[in-house]
Amino acid sequence: MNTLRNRSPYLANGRSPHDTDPALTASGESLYERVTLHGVTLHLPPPNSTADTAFIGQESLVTACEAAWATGLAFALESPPGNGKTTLAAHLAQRAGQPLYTIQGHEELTPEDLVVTARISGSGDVEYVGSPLLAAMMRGGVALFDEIAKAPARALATLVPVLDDRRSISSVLAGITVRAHPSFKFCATLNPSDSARQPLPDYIDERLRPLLQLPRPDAESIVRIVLNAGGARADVNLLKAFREWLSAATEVSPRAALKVFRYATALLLNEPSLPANAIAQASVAVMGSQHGRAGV
Amino acid sequence: MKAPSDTLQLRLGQGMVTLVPSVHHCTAFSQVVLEELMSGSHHIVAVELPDALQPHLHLLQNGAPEKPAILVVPVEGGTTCAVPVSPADSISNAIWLASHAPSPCEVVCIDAPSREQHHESFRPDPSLDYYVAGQGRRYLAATLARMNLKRDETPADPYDLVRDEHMAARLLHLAHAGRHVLAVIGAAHHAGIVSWLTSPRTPVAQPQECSVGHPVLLPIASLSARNEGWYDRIPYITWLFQEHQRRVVTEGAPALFECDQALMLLLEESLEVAAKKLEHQEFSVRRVAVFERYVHAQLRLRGHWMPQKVGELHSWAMETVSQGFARVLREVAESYPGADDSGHHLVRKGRVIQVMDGKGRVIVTGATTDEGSPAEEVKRPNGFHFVPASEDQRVHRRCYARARAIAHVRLAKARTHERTTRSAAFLATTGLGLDVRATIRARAAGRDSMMVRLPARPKQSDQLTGPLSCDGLCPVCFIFDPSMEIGSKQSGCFFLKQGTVYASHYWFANTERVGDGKVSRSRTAYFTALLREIAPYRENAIQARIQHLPPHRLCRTKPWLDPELKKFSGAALAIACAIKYAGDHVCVAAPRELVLSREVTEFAAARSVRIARIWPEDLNPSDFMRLRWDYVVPAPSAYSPPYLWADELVERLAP
Repeated sequence: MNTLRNRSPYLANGRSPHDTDPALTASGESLYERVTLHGVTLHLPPPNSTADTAFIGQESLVTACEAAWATGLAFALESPPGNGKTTLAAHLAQRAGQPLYTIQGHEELTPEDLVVTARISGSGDVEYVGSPLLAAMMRGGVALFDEIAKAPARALATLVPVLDDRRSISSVLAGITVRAHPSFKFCATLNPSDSARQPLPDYIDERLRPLLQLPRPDAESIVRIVLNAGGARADVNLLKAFREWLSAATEVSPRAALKVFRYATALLLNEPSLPANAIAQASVAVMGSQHGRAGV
Repeated sequence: MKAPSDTLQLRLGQGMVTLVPSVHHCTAFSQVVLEELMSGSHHIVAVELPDALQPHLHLLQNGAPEKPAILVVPVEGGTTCAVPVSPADSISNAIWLASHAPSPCEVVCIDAPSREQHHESFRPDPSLDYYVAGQGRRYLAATLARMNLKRDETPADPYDLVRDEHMAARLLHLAHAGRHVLAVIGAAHHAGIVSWLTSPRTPVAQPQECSVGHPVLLPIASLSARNEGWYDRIPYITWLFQEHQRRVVTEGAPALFECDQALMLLLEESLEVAAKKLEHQEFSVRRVAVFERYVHAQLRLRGHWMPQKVGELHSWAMETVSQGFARVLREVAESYPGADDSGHHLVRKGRVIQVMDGKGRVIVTGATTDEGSPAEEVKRPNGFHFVPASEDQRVHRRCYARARAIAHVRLAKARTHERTTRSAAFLATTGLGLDVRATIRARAAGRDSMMVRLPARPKQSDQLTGPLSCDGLCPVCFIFDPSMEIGSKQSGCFFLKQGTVYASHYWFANTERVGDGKVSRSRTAYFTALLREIAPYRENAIQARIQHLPPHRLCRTKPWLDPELKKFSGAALAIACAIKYAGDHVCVAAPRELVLSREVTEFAAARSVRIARIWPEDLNPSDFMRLRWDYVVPAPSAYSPPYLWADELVERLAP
């Protein structure tokens, strides 16, 4: 394990040196790292970039997440889409100085996808490809299981030994068992609508505690998020119009608000008009006629 | 882990003064007093009480420290001095301990007498309380800095300087006599006293001369004391401390009060109660173990010794265990075993708190330093500004969102037959095509067969069949008591600020005043939310949105006065009202025993409105139960959040 850690290019500063493209270098060479474990050669994926990930507001939630990790607990973040669950996870990984690996939950996910899958190389040999979860466990990173409630129960069963005191994972395909690096951390995100339709199996729900609710930020926090994302350099009148729209709008997620603001900025660049009109146009385009017009 | 104990020690001549700050009704400071007194290094305990009370101290020394009480002292000139005695109060605790410790100490009252009414001790200063208890070993310096800051910000009572100097002079006198003095004095006086002790100067003025009458010690009803915070933030921990103190005094147990251990005892008691009340799956061993680890990590990261309020513990339990267990934990944390509800009551009247006997007669009047109190609002011509409690707003928002989400899915769902496939080795037919993943897997396993997908037995399932058509303002109707017929006199409306557009209609089973009359609590039989939100501060947003709704969607008439709805009554009226102002559908959350009448279904059909039924079990059970209770609490203004104390009171009262 030590050899692996020393050879890993991602452990020195917690980030890939190739943030521009996580999969390929400029010359097209794969960034998947080859490691040998118990005589089996694995190809491990690179981490996500978490550079400059800021999470604005809700400091107590950050403390709650860190409290869970501090005692070796995995946790789940629940909120409607666009509220910043993934951003919070990236922010936490950045604060912890650890690389972030994201597993995307979907209906077709299989147990193999969470551990090791196989592919045929150019020479016709079978190659084993590690999952982001396996990579996080081996390298001592943070594994984020995004939209975990979308994954089928049979795939989630693989997580059981990962999330309890065994902290290990096994691949039937590659015939290996990997114990997690001591620094390995796990979190998951889920949408209430998904969990209402398909609740997590009890054995996963038990192991994903605390379950933390991520409330929708208030208008002022959303403005701060927008300013932090480059809005501070925007036209003052546009910002003013944006604030007015936001204070009147209902149920606007930070993601949607950011899109509205960016789109309005682009509209103004292409065709000068009143900032309020640009915001109105952008909000309808981004959020649809009902939601978009509401705040105008 | 131990409670904060960095007292301030000053060596003065042959003697020594140890200053322990006192914050009323804050157990952490009683712990410090206990540890100091059990060290046996003090000759005298000096307390911040008027020196005229010296002959009457036996009332406090002989009392029971675990029982809340109030010492009422008539003062020359017709005013009254009232000293609260609470299990968490370090001054009264110090007086009791000094005479019951294995090495008893003399108690000396050192404060300057005052003809003014005592104003500062009827309620803890919440901000200071939170702040001090949370700061661990740094608390003293931080507290003093804060006190100085407060004095700089607001003009101090000039008589406070006289009191500071008087107390400092008394301490100096005692120390110069070669005595070791433990001074238990309000944190607000520390800066002035330390300043005077380190550089004594001529007093600015002489203290007032006044005599006092014969004092009486009045017991306070436990519930009343708890509501005013006299048991500190977590009453059960205060009770544990009192039990610990009793063992220290009577059995010679070590003086150190272990906060960790106290939390564990609280958890143990909660588990015992939970075992009797809850299903096992609501507090599995794994979840409880997670909760314990999580609580300690939270406290460590926040630099706190104890959770700052019961609500904090409650939400941590919700996040890690279950709502049921969180409820039990809250009940236990707020309990004070052996509490006695007989005695006098504390009744808040604006800026003052009155002590009343069982017949409603005012015995004594005190005041509160709680800056967030509604004091200034009480005497306004129009009375309080009343708004829904914050928790009500959160519960409503959660339930609406959940009900709508489920309703949408149910309306958009249709039963379909999903065709599934299976993988098999290629024999004669390619079936539904090559299964690449299975082929690779087979190859990895050493089998060279090509795998293909073949149809498997069809599976029945529910799928969304189309986009959702809700405009986000669909009415939601919650029915709790379908059989109740509530008349218009027991109903209420919430309408928007600028105009007469009704946002919701309520039918109440009963309404009562609780929390000393400051909170209105109603049990709802059913209600209809036409515009979903009840929070006043969301109103501008709703106003903006309704401008885009067609006129027939806006309710401007109370349903019981609407001719079109006169054929409906009871719960049917609530649903019909929702249907009348709906777009294309309404959500009705009601028990299964509610059968929609033919009139209702025909009324909906005539308007092309679909009714989506939601069952109580679709919603979070505790949310559904909480939703039926409606709390209206005071707020600084009509469109601002409620007072913190009001929300905390609702937290205690809510089911």
